[in-house]
This record gives sequence, C-alpha cells and structure tokens, in this order.
Amino acid sequence: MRSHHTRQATQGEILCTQLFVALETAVLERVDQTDTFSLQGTAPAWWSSIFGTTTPPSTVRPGERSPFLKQFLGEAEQGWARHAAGLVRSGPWTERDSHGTTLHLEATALVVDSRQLLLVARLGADFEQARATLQRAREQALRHAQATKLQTRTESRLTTQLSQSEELRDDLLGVLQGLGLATILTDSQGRITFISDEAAGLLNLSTDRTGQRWDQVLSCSKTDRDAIWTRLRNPAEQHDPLTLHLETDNPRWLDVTVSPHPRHNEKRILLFHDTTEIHDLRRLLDEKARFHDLVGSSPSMMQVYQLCESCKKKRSHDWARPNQGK
Amino acid sequence: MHKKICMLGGFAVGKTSLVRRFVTNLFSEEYHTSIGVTVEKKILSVAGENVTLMLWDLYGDDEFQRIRESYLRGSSGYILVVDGTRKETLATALGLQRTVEGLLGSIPFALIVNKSDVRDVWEIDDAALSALRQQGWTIFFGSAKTGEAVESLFSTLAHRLLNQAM
Repeated sequence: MRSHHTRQATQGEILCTQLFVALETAVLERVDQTDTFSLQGTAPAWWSSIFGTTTPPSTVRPGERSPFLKQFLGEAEQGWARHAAGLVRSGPWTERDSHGTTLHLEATALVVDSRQLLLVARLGADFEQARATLQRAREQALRHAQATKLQTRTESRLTTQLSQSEELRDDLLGVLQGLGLATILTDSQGRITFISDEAAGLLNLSTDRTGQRWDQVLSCSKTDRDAIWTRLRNPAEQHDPLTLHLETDNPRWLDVTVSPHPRHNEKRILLFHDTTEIHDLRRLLDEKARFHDLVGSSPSMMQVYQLCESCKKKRSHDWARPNQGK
Repeated sequence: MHKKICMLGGFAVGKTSLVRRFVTNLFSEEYHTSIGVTVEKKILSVAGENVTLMLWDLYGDDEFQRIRESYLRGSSGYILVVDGTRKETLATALGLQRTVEGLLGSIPFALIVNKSDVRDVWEIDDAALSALRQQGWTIFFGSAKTGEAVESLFSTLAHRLLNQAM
C-alpha cells in the first residue's frame, strides 16, 4: 500500500517537472533567506542561455546575471517575509543571451508550505500577441494624432484664407458700390449670385433676390429676355449693349452688357446702364423734327403728339388708323 | 561604480533608439513598441574613473501601460525623453518627473527633446522649455537617428552622478 503511494507521489513529481518544462518555467527555491536559489526539477531549455548550466539541485544566484531580477528580488522579499498566499509578479522584462537572441521573461515570487519559491517563465505566444496588439494600438494612435494635426493645420490655413478672401470681397464690394455700377452676377443656371445696390435700385427690387433666376427678376418683354439669353449663352461674341425696356411702375430704358466671368467660365456679369433720360431726350428731338413744321408746337399740340407716340408703341400695327382717320 | 539610470517618456518618443544609439551606435527607422523593461549596460570613463551605466529602458507611459514605481527604485538618475514633433509628450515627461521626484526625491536627471533631424516639423519650441531651464533643468536637443547630442546627454548625466557621489 505504502509502495503504491510512493509510486504515485513519484509519478506526480515527474508530471509536475514535465509540466513546468512544457511551460518553459524554471522553479527555484530560496536558500536560507539569501539571494541564492536551488533549481527544482528540470531547467527549461532556455535557462542555460541566460543563467548558465545549472544541474539540479545545484544552487544559482540569478540576480548576479540579471540586474532586473536582482531588483525584483528586493520586491519579492517583502512578499516572502509576509508569508502571504498571494503572488508577487515582476512584470515582463527582456534579456539577451550570448548569441544576441532576446528572451522575454517574467518572474513570480510565492510561498508554498513555507517554502519561498521563485518562478521564472519565458513569455510565449500570449505575450507576443499582446505586444502586437499594443503595437497596433500605438501606431493607430500615432496615425490618428498625425491626421488630427494635419486637419487642424488645414482648417487653420483655410480659415485664414477664407478670412482674407472675405476681406478682399468686402473691399471689392465697397469699391463696386462706390462706383455706382448696376451689376448682377449669375451662375451657370442663370441664378443671381450677386446684385449690387445700384442694380437693385435700378430694377425696382425692394428685397434680396439672390438665388432667383434673373429672368424672374427682370420685368421685360419676351423679346428682350430672349435677346439677353442669347447674350448669356455667347457673351464673347457680341460687344454692343442690348437695349431693353423695363416694364415696371417706373418704366425705364436700360442698356445691358453681358460679359463672361474672368475666372469662372460658366458665370456671367450683367452690367446695366440707365438710358431712360437719353431715350426721352431723343424722343423729344424726334417729335420736334417730325411735327413742328406741319401743325405747330404749342403745348396742347405737343401733348397730342406724345399721346400718338405712346399709342404707336403699344399698338404699332394699328398706328396708321388713328392718324389717317383724324 | 554602477549607476542605474531610467529612460522615461511617452510611447514612441525614442527611448529605446537613444539607448541603442548610445550602446551599439545603431539606429532603426522601424518603430517597435516596448513592453516591459530592457536593461542595457555601458561603461563610461568619467574624470578618469570607469562608471558602469545600467540603462533601464522602460516601456512608454500611456493609457495602455503605466510606469510601475518599483522599476524606478534604486535609480541614481533618469533621462526624460520628449518627441519634438509631438508637444503632448512634453506634458507626459513633466508628469513622470513629478512622479519620480515624489518617489525618489531630487536626483540628477536630464531632458532630451528627440528627433532634431526633423526639426522643421517640431511642435515644441524653445519658449516652451525656457521656464524649465529657469528651474535649472538640463535640456538637450538631439536625435537618435543622427546621433546628435546622444553622447553628451549620457556623459553629462554621468558626470553629475559622479559629482554627487563624491
């Protein structure tokens, strides 16, 4: 019976030894509260490359070979002294063997049955996986930080450019308004993107019409609209201004020049000149030239001529009838 | 005479590269994050005396890994490493300096602003460091890549350690 138990204990001991070898872990027992340890069981394959050949139960002073382990033994001492059941772990550290190969190790101090033990394990696949994960996380953090900085720099540059552009735009707008030019800027769809104060006044626009199509804003005849559309399509081909009659409560005669935008080919600049006064003066001259020698130029007669002229414009095809009939 | 010097700083600031440049005069462009501790040794002749520097290259301090205070114990001095291209690494170094001073008291240290080879993209300028200089900090501008200021960094600290020991 006793030999059966002895055989079982021996088998258990062999199993433990093989287990620690398989786990690449060296088991050391502290000798007489010193920095000397005796190696228990079989040393794992890596052990000799760092700590030299050690044949159990010979002793070893691992702190002499490894400064990290030497410092950890001081930390472990507190755990051993307390005879506490817990483990004191060193955290991972790296040693280089005589061939320059690096080994990642971790030590654990513990007390078992009042025996002060030190386990030194070679870290394997789990450690490498954790390292790879941390590497990726840090690389990602670096990339993210770099991208954020780039974005911040770009934002800052664009903000400065925008501010400068706005300042320039305000300056040019001031100059444009100061010149008193009646200007409308349109996009490729004919929508108004800018309208000067002078143009708004000239076209009798009381509200901001930006975003609307120009032909919804200009009250003129279809013939005039078509003529402007032709100019908008081919602004470079015609140079003489178009004359159009604005049909509002305050009718006006306008000359319109259509130019291409200097930077955006699809945009157009419409420049309006009020020629109402010129038209009125021309009309008066025309009336005098045509009638004063025939009938007279008294104010009453002039009123009759003007009435006839306005009827002529409205009903050009009926023009001959009143004149001939009376 | 053996002196333990800890390399401290945020991640990817170049602690391992500086140690490698100093010990083996090599440099690699690739970034390999450190987990745990690597202890390197280099013997310097300081004022006719051989001083063995035990350089504890600690992993970078960030939200993933915090420096264990037990690693700092027994240090004779330390080097704070900052990446000149990342201003946030200066704040990390300042935090670590406070930690060490709280744990070990006032011991010799030096700060190096690394990556001077790409100084045109630095985020840390001299103005940010002038306050530290006024407090008596020893500050180097250097590069593990080119080797600039690496020797003088370690040798200056070694001199200070030796002077303190005398």
